[in-house]
Amino acid sequence: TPDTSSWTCESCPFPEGYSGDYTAETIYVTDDSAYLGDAGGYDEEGAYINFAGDGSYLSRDYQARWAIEDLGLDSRYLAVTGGQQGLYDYRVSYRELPRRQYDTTRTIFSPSGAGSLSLPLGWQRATATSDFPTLASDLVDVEIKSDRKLFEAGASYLPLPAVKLDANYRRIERNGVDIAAGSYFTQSSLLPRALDYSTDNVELSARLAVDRGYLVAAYYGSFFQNRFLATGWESPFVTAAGAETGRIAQAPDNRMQQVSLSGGYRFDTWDSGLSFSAAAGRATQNDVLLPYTTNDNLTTVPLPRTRLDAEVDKRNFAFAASASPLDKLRIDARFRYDRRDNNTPIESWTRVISDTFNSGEAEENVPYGFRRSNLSLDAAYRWSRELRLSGGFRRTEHDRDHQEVAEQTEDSGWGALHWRPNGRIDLLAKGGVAKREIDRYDESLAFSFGQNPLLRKYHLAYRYRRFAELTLSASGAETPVSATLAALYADDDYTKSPLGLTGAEDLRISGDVSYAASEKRHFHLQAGYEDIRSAQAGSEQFSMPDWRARNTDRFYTAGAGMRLLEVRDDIDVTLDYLRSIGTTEISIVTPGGPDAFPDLDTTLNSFHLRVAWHRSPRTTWNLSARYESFVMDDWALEGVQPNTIPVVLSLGAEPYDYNRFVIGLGFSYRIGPEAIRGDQPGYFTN
Amino acid sequence: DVPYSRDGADTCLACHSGPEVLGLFRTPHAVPTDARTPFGHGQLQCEACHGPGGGHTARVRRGEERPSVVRFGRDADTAASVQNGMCTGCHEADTGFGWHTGPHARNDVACADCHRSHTTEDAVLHASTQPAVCFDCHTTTRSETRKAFTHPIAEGKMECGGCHSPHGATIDEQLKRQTVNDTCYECHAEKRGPWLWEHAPVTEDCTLCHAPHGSNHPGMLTRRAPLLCQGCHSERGHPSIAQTPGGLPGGAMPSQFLLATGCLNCHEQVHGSNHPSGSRLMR
Repeated sequence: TPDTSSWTCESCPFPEGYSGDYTAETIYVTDDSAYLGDAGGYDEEGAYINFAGDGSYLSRDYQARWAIEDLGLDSRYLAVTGGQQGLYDYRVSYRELPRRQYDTTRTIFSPSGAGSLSLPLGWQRATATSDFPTLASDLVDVEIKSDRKLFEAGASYLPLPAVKLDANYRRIERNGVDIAAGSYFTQSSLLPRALDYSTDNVELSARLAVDRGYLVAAYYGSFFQNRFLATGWESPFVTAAGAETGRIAQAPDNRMQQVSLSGGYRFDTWDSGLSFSAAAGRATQNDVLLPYTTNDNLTTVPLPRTRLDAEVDKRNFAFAASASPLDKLRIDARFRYDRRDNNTPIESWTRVISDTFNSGEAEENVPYGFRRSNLSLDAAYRWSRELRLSGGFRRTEHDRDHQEVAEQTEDSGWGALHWRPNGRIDLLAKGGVAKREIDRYDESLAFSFGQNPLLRKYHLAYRYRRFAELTLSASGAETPVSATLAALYADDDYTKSPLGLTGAEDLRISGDVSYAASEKRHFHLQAGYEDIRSAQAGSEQFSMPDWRARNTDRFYTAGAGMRLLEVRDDIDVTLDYLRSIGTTEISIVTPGGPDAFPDLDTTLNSFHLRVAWHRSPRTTWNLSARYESFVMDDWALEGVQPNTIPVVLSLGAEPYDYNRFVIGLGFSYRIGPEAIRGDQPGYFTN
Repeated sequence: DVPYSRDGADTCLACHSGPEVLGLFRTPHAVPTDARTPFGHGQLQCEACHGPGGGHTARVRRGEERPSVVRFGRDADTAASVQNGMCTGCHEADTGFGWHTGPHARNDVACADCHRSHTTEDAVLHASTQPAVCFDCHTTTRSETRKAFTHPIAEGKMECGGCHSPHGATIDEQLKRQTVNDTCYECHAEKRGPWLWEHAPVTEDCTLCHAPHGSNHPGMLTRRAPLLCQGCHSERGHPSIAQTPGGLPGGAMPSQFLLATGCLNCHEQVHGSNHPSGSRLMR
């Protein structure tokens, strides 16, 4: 260790005081758009005033940093962190996240009290949606949208350099409207359901860090509360036995608490290391249960209990070790074990069907549980400075309760080579197979659930998988060009599944090319292709397969960008373009012959130009022009008016079809020391 | 042994004083009052991370190559394991479970491939800029997040680290929590239950039905209903009936199993129900 007493660092520019960049911006949006406003906050046409910025206060004994984003939008974010580094710190943040699902929806229902929906005055019931005489005049616009509000606060304290105490609190609130379904026998109404719930998450931890290792003890608590126990509605359809109202349960209040201990240690011997993690948690739910029915004309048996007292115990254990017993050999081992024990009391329940009559059948709730373990052993051998060979084996075991397959084992093996002939080329190629076996598929249990005994649920079925992966990166020796090509492939055969999923294939390819003509001229191209296929079989006759279907999802993305700094001395220009296309083809073969659905298409185009004019070292004018269009062809929505489906009163949501401009003009001002231009790496946003 | 420089950072800054270096002094690495940091009292300043620079800073003969120090980043000639060794020398406890056996370490990913320690703001630490850093390598995932239905990653409102723990995790997907479901419940606690009437696959793994990076189907479903549901449901009656284009608008009988929300037109409680009459997930 050198004598550093004379290292005074006199030329080190330690900053002190306030600094920050703040931007005020006026924005104009040319059209309403739920889809393009989702998460971003620009869902309505018109002008917006926005404010953003970040700053800091730095001194020898105290540092604080803050950030503001989208203050004028429904996606606003504010954060402050501060403290005395090495002793304590705190962090507080607030984020709003708008969920904008549909702005083309219409309903006849109106809120009436906590979580209830009423029919219009004078509504005349009918048995089919086309027969509602006043439907057209009773429909009113309703937006399916909600807002998430996330508040976070946390603090850390270091009583000793090796000890860190940490506390974090996070509250998530969600308010608004989503879509529920109020069913009545074979009829149903889509409902604009009111949401008002919150989750409080608490995390406490204590960490001891020693020279080569650490130990963390932690507590995690998550507490969910829902203002609404249920959503009630008046049935618009003709009903029987006085079942004029229905009620669907909302998510019950619930809580999850967990304690954990984890740690790791590095050894000199064989450059080895160990990590472990052990967690024990309990999820509980004891909300009051609704009655079997809202229909006072019915006599029902008493509920076996008024609260469920549901309880699920979770155990998780993980262990990892790595070592290099030889100079060129590295061995890794990982093991994990998860357990879900559902201790919810099993009771006998007598369902009321559609609030109209007692089923007369006693049904028991099924507390699903499982035990799952996973062991993997990997080895990597550095054959030469340029070439590394690796391979591994992995075994996953499942043991489930109350399901058609109790024991399931999947063995997987893979091999890979990683070739770096020089600093400019990097090739990773990997391939392997996996075979999932089951002890037996309990057909009698499946039959008791009402299932066709020939069905094999895809996550429980025998499966043989082949998979491969290729990544190639290259950069120019003389020219500053770099390119990456990545491909993933998986092919699944469910050869022992007469019914259900019989095969699946997934191919993903993506490529990037970057060119840095200079430190101030960057160009970027990207493209992606994905092809996901699946085949499945079904049986209308409840016997052998008599229909087959194929589903193919294809995606194409292409993007380009350029970042031109100092186009003129004081002007920076950034340009991004993205095109993303998704297509779903579904074909089906029935005894009546082959048939195909119209394609489900989604097409996004986005073009974003940003110009920054650095008027002075402290002031910048920003111009932003963004064009976005999104078009969707979706047979599930296209032409589906509220009364199109005879037995479902829908909300008439229309497929998205938007195009719009978002134009912004902003002014930035810097406080404190002048900015260090060029100290930020640039990333393309598309 | 390679000696250290004579005057520490003052020696280094005599040559390296560009904007790509000076941002360092606004970062947590350069806090003199924090004795743990490279610029804390008695610490090794630049050489805490770059290693002894005595050879590098010494006079070299004409034509002789200047000895290198430890360099960071993807293009650096220093091996990733050596780079990472410098970082974990102080940050071992920050790496989390199993970093050394995880996919990043196994694939020679260096800390500096993602982190920038000389810049005022480290892009990977901010929600709005982090995904771009991850997508530098995870290019197929970037394409996935551009699908029609996805989490708000492209909008900069959710970072990869919202779900993933890149420094080490107990499960393969490098997730923050102990299981896939526990990670999802962080934000979607209303789906957690435990319910009176559970839907078996929901209790096990959300990704059996959902594609969290993006999908062409609303709700980020892996396939469209009813085919998705018919992968597991074959009961007599409507679950086993093949739905054909004849059920589309304009057909003889627009189908409640295909249109609007498909199976969810009635069985809306697919995540579970707490209603005593909800065994069919309709209440």
